[in-house]
Amino acid sequence: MVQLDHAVLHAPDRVAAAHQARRSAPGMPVPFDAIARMAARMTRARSAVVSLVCDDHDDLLGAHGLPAQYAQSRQWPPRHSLCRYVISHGAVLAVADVTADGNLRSHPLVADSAIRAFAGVPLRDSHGRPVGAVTVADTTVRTWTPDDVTALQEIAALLEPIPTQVDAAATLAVLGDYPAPSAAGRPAASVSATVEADVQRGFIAALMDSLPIGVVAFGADRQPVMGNRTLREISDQPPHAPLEGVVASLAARLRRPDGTPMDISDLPVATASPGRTIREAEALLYRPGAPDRHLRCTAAPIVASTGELLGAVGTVTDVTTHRRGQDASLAQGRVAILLNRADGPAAVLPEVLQTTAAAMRWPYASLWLVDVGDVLRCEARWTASGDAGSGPGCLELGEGLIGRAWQEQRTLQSPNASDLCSDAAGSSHEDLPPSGSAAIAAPIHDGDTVVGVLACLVPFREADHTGDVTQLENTGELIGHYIARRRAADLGQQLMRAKDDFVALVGHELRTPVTSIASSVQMLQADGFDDDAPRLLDAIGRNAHTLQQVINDLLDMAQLESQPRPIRFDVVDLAAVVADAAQRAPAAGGPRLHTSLPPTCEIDGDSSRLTQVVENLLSNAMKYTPAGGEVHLSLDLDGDVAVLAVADTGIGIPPEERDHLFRRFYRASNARNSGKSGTGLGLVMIRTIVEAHRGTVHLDPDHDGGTRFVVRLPRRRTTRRRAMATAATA
Amino acid sequence: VTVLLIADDEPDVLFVLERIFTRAGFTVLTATDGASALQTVRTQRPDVVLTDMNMPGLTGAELCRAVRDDPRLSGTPVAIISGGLISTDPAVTGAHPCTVILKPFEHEALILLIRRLADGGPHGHRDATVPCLQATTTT
Repeated sequence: MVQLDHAVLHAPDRVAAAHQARRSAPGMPVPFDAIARMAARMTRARSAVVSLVCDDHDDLLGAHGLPAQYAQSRQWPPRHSLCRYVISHGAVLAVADVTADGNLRSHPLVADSAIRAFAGVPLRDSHGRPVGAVTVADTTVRTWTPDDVTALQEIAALLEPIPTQVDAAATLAVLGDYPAPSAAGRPAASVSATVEADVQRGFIAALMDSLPIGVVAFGADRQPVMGNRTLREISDQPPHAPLEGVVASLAARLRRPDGTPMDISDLPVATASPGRTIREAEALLYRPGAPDRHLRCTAAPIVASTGELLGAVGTVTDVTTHRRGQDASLAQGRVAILLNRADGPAAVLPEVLQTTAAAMRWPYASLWLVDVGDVLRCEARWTASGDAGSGPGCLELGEGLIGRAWQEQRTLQSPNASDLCSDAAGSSHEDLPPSGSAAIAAPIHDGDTVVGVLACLVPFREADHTGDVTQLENTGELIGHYIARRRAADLGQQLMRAKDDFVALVGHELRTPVTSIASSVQMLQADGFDDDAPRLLDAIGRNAHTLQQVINDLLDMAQLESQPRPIRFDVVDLAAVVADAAQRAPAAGGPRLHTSLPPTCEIDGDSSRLTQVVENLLSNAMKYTPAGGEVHLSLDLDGDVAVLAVADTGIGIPPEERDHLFRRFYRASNARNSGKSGTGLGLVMIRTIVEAHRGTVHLDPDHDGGTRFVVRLPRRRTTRRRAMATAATA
Repeated sequence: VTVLLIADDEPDVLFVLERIFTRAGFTVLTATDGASALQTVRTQRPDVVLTDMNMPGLTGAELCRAVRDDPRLSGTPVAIISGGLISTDPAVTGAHPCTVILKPFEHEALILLIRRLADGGPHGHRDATVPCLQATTTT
């Protein structure tokens, strides 16, 4: 007796292969109807079918000679299937008389269509799985000859292996030979129309999976029926994950743009109904341990010609990158406006930092500018929690990620937030938000020079931070331009002031000696060389000398400022330099000079320039302190800094004029009226030399009765860290 | 004989000015700072005062203002010599000098100017917008 083997028929592996074959077989370059006709002719049978056997139905790929009632449908229910016996048998099956078989006698086909004999051969895929069969049938009892069996086997060999992989290229190649699916004038149930539908199905499957947007379709019962590969990617699911799970996972993590959770019934695709199409709905997809995705969804109903709602189809586009880019460029625009409107060294930088960090959702950001003494000084600090955060005010070259970005002049990243300010040795710790963040530091350039560093933390250290790096660098560039512009404006202002001060200098300090010279000469010319002549010649000589001094100072200043390296560094005993200058100071007639110096004080510097500094300060103090007054000259050590102080009990400097002191050609009003000559260049020269030594000079505001200048000079050119390393190896 | 007070803290300039005016027939008094110059004006009552602008203690403008503020002296003609490029410095004009002379100067022109001030004699200085030297010369 012929048996149905359900273990074979319903083996998941075979059923899956058969389903895949349904998609791919229409792509085969084979005219299945012609094959069926050929099978019937070769076996002299009444009819033939080429079919795929799925678990719940048979798919007819090709057919010949079927009675009218069977030719209507391309899908046959299992009870009409003879192929199932062929597949159960596993080899060529030939039945001469179905009524003689106990199982087949009651088969519907036998009863309905007067079939008396049939023979079939399984069709296998490349893995040998029987996915279908070629079956021939006759209405009379007959014996199947070996030739008939061979013919069936040859036909099967012609078709095998049945492809069970979707081959988009093959599908498309075939598609080119078929008329467009929408071509009219074909009988609905015709063989070629069915093939066409199958081709379409395979084509659509391939197309869906190659689309860069997620596609999902729901049935009328609002259950998902189809979803493509991109949909699975967007929902962070593997490519073959079951659709129900994918949709459930999406639904569980979707948020409205304002962050509130979304119910599955809120999903755009589920809310589509007849006549209601949803365009461009926005949603957030929450992802644990990764940045949220921004999704843009559309949905449209699928409506039958009768108006009945069959389901809905929706698309999901991941617009995260686009949205982040939009946020970034908006923030950058705001930053550019902020910086353009800022016209002074106002507190614009903290606002710039906040604007950028908030838009980029950075939990922390900080801005550092290179300061005198080779350090990075923190200009602004921002945290998402709103408090200003705390941390070191200064970083040295190479200290932490920030110091290294300065040193290496390039953007650096670290997966550890704690690397930002401290290196392995870890001397200073920024007060940072909870871990899980990566750190980025980008240098701020002004031309070829690094003038600062912009740093931030970004959440989700594993994620791609290209956008954050770009934003940090772009903002850094805007700040760099701003700093350059501000410096140019400062220079312009300085130049303007210098011009005014120069006019004043010409007035007060050049006209007086010129007047003396001119008057003396006029007198000598008018009166000849009388008794007063020697006195007049003396005056001419003295005043010419004064003029020469002004010119020398101007030239020296120009040289100091125009040479790229005006300072020749060497090891200098500053104590000796100060002592020498003190010794050369005029001893009698002026104020009393007191000195307090260490035995030695070696620093890296230029001894002739440092001598100039000490002499200038000392001569100023002596010049503007009347006889009977006192001048105190001291040199002390403050850690790695040499501190030189010159204090006097002289005329002092009016408080309102102290800001102008270091301006070129500027002389305090009481100095101008003092009858002492001066070029107004001494203090400018002092400051230029001191700053070239990476030091500072300032007027002690707390000093009463007279003037006190304090010069601070770093003893070593190298930074403390490198100096410490040197000391350690020594 | 016209008595002229010359105030200048630059000894070289003072020496030259003193010699010019002595030779021109003036009786010359000298001072090397503003305070002593004011003292001399009070005690010696010179006919004309010629003062430098930049001086320790009291500037030329301050000296002039002090003279104008003293009812007994206020009419005294005062000329200020200034190293500044412009003569309309508010500190100077507010002090109401008769004229401001810029350095360097021509000796003959300077003598002529002082002589004209001496000839004009003491006069009022209420109207600051009209330089009094011009007023005296046009009348």
